[in-house]
Amino acid sequence: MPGIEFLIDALTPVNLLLALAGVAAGTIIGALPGLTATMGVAVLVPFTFGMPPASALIVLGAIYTGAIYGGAYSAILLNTPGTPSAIATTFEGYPMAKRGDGDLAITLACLASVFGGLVGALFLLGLAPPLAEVALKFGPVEYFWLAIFGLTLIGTLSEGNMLKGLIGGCVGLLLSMIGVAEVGGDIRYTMDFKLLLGGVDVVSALIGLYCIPVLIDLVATPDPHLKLGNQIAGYRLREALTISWRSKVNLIRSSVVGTIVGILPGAGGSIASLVAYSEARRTAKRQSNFGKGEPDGVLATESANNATVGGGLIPTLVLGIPGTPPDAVILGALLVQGIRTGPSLFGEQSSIVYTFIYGLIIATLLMLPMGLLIGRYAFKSVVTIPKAVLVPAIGFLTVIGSYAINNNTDDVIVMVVLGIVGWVLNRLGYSPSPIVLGVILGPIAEAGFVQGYLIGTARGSVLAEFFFRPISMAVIGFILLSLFYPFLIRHWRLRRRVVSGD
Amino acid sequence: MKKTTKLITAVLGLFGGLVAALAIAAYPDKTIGYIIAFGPGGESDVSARLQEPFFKKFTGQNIAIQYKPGAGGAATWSQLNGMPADGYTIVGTNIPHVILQPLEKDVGYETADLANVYWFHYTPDSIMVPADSPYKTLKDLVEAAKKAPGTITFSGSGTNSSNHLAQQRFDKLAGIKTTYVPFKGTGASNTALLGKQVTGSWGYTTVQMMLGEKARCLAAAMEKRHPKIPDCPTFKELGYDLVGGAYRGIAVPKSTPDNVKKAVSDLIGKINKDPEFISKMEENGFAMVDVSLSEMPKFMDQMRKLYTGLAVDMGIKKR
Amino acid sequence: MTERPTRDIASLLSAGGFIVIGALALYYTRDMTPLGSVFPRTIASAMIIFSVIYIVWRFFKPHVGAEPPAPGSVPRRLLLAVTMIAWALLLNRVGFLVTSVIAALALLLVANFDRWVPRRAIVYVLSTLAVVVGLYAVFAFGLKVPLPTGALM
Repeated sequence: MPGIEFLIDALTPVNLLLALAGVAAGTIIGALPGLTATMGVAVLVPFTFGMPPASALIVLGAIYTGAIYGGAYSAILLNTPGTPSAIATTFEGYPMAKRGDGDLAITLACLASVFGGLVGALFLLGLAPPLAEVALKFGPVEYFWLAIFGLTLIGTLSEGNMLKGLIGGCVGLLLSMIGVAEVGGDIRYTMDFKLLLGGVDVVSALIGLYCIPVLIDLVATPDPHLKLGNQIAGYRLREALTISWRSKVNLIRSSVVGTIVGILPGAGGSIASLVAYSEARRTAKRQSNFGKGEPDGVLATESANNATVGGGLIPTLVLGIPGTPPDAVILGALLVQGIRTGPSLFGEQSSIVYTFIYGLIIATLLMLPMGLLIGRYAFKSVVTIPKAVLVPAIGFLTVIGSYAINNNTDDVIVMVVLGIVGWVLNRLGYSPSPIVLGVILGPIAEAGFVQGYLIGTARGSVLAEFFFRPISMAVIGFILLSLFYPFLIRHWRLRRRVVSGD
Repeated sequence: MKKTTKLITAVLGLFGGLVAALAIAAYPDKTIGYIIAFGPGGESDVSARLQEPFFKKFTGQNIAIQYKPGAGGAATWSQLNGMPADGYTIVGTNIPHVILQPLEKDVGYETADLANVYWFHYTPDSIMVPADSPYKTLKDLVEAAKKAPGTITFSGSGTNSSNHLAQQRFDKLAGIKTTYVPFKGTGASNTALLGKQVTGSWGYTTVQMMLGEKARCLAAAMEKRHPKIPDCPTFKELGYDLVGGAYRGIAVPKSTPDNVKKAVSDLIGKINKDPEFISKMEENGFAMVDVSLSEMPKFMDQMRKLYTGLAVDMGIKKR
Repeated sequence: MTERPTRDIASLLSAGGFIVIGALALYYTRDMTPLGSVFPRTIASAMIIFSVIYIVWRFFKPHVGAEPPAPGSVPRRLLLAVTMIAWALLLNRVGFLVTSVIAALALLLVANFDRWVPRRAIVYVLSTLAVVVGLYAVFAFGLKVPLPTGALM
């Protein structure tokens, strides 16, 4: 294993303590809706300036991975992703909680997060430089097709009605266009509200569209929010381990997907978990349980999003290009510490990098006991706190969380308005996920399209640019596959039945 | 005036070590809030972080860096004059942003509304190509552009931003036509450069430091070569009158008392002259500049004329 | 249980609403630059197309009614919505902490179905206050987030 001699450095008491504290802090930060991993890392960066570089990186990495895991808590218990990377976890996590399996879901999320985090970190350890080159092969056109892929996934994954899901996606896409256009500089759809000049922030939309409808429905009836499972067990660890083992292919595949998506600069946990979920669903033998609380879904999403931690660090450390938003902050912290990223990082300054990577691995491992412990308390508190107190508490979290994104009360107003609109749409059959995913993917799709168009024109052929690049063709293949797969399967099954004379 | 004398005494005392924080109630005597109008990780953030230990060194006080991104900085700048005007809230400002934004649209503030007290560095515009690009000098690039107008592509951060302006200015100076492809942020722009999606990139010398050996700097918009990038010629050397980039400075709410404004200006100026600070900034590719409060009106006038002219040329000016 | 499946009026109307929104979105692209208008136009058109397909499809394949109107108290729901809106709008003017305390207590009233025995009232009020003030402290002092102070605090 490369740099194994630095494992010792990572195991010093100080570094261990930092890893532990980081993971715990990160988990709590990620769990609170409105606080994202990026924010958690950014806020704690100043405290790291006095530390030696490797220790600083370890604590930041620990916070990062803890936060990505922590996002699952509110996703499962409150149907509100704690961070954008946990959006896909709501698909199966919340139904599981409603059914009484919330504690199982949380434990599964913990196991999956640890597994995914380790896979990502191992790729970082062993294959960073070559994988970074892969990241560079993805140009604007590839990103465009990836975003389109994500959008078709929205349609096919929609609960109930595919058309409504697609319409919801379009709503999200239009929302993402509000404000100043990144390419072109136009101001669009602000209706002369200065408040909208900054656009609709993803996290505002996230908290509003998911959380507010939950609150609105919570106050409507006296029934408790979630029921406890049959046994007041704590962890259901053995059950979770059994399920995880059965689902090992899913876990491995999702972690690899997560790592690869993490490597692509600009694509993070939200996209990774979406793709992993879609693949898990497509290849599952018991398709019917999806949407009603299928454990494999939680395993897929949580392992994918934690894998992006390791994956995202690959271009960050090798090329100096942030793989995910928290990586941009980490990069800034590195620069201030005087560390230059690039191949030299793995050469002359290898002690720092390897100590860091091993520290990250250790932090991920520590997430297992820490995560289970915090998870148990999170679950118990949400279940046992009387609804009357839960509602104001969550309400306050949504307000302070949306404020803290940009230190701007405008985001709170946007959040509430979108929330109320979201409740109405929910009643009409339009679920929040397509809308939020549209908000996330909109900028990527648009930038990819416009940039691809400009480059294509300069190179002579826009069509060639969009359709004849190898990676693009592969992605287009995936898009067609995911769109037509259900029909193909049905067609084949019908034919087989006819042939065997049923 | 009395307050200023106290400040100088306090600062001199501090230079010795520990005394200042206790002795006189001079500015600053508590943590200063430093608001960055962009997200973490960018040039504004890095330069503020580099200043942070020096604030502590010269005043014994901490700064609390906060991010308030939105609308390319306009979210913060439009709210600046509503913030507490006691010198404990300072905001990072950027040229050309604060000049161009109000010219394009109603962003909630006018350039004259911002009370700038110091401009402490700029990041010089520079053209970069991938290390293994066939273009070894600026001349190669210009010739290729002349032969095939529009086919040379440059990535850059944002539309109507400093990078974009630089590309437009240079195109005019060299009499060529190149295509600017805007990306969301320096990270994306660099990815495109390294991945050879584009021919080259309009960025800053700071970016050159970040990319190191992977990118070749063809020219930088400075008066003299950057001390840490000696192999990169200046545009001036090559015959193009192009000097400039994105300037970063500090502003306070307009209603801040004059002596406090001066105190802030002096403090930033002091940090800016510290050799250790200068060396750290230059290592990262920044180029030092010193425009203090007293020189502010003339500087802003110059900048305003320059950028308004460019805005009209590019068709950006709408107000 | 009706024999004839009823038309899901609400869904049809909502799809109609989206056609209108799509049309408006298209209308507002007239002021945009060519590059800036491509995406809005494409998406708005897609939205209109999807909505039209939906209406046509549902018209010919109506399914049994929409979801039943959500069980539960409408007044409480409205109160929550109104409280949240007021909360968001007053933050800057009245101050973060004060607005939040008042709004949180208001939500406590809206969300509570149990009888107001003195002991329970005290416990609920104190816990709500603890959450609000506690989190406020973490954000304001621990994370150094600048929270607006407005007129009061």
